[in-house]
Amino acid sequence: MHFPFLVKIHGGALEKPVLFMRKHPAILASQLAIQIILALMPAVGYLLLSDVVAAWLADPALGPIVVLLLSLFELCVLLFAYNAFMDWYLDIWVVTDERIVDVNQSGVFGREIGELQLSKIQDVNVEQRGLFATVLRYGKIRVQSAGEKVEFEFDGLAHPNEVQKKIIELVQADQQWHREALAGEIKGAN
Amino acid sequence: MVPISVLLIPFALFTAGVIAYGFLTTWNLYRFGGEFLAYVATFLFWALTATVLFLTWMTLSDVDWTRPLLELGVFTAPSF
Repeated sequence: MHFPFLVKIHGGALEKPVLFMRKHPAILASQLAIQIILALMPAVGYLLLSDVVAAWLADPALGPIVVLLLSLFELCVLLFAYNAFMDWYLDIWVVTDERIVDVNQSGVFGREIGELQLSKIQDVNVEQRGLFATVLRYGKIRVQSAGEKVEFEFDGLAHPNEVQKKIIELVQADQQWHREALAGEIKGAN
Repeated sequence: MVPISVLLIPFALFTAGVIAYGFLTTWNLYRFGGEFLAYVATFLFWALTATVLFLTWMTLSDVDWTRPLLELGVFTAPSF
């Protein structure tokens, strides 16, 4: 794992990352499938209307226009596919033994980073809807907190039930640690 | 008479925009943690972009760019 900006967020030497998650690869695959279908559309159009397209391409003025437009179309499809990959790759959820960090990437210039202390978590819910989500085992995790931001959610997460279980374990361990620390402080004061 | 080469201006501008946005995406990807999968995606994007531009160049290599964009001769023909 190499995410330099996370070092800035955490910084604490004692804090250990426990889970590092992205959306299920099927989410990226479905987006890339659309781009592949779009990229192949000109070839399909050529096969279906070969006579018409051949006449266009043979025209000394129309031919270059068609080729340039097709080239631009393919470049746009490639760029959208690359951008979809970047969104998927940089949209991450890190669970440490102290907090949850949600990095939400949207486009090149949009990034939202949210943090939630494990000690503030009140409830962790899992939602799986639809055939693909059930078969491929991905879903939405919603973490409810006592803080200002009521809900913290991550959609398209792989194996959400295992993640939910792990987060609950971490929350319980964190709360136990806080209880013991508080009890130690009270004993020390007495 | 407007030559057909004028079409290359919007094409070049648009292509430059796509390449600039592609560079920004690559920069963003590596600034915020690129690893093997990101290298593969970056390689594929730039290799396919280069292929599309190369094929466009090859397809248009025989075009006479000095031809008029609009053939207006039809209006001056005796049959018009």
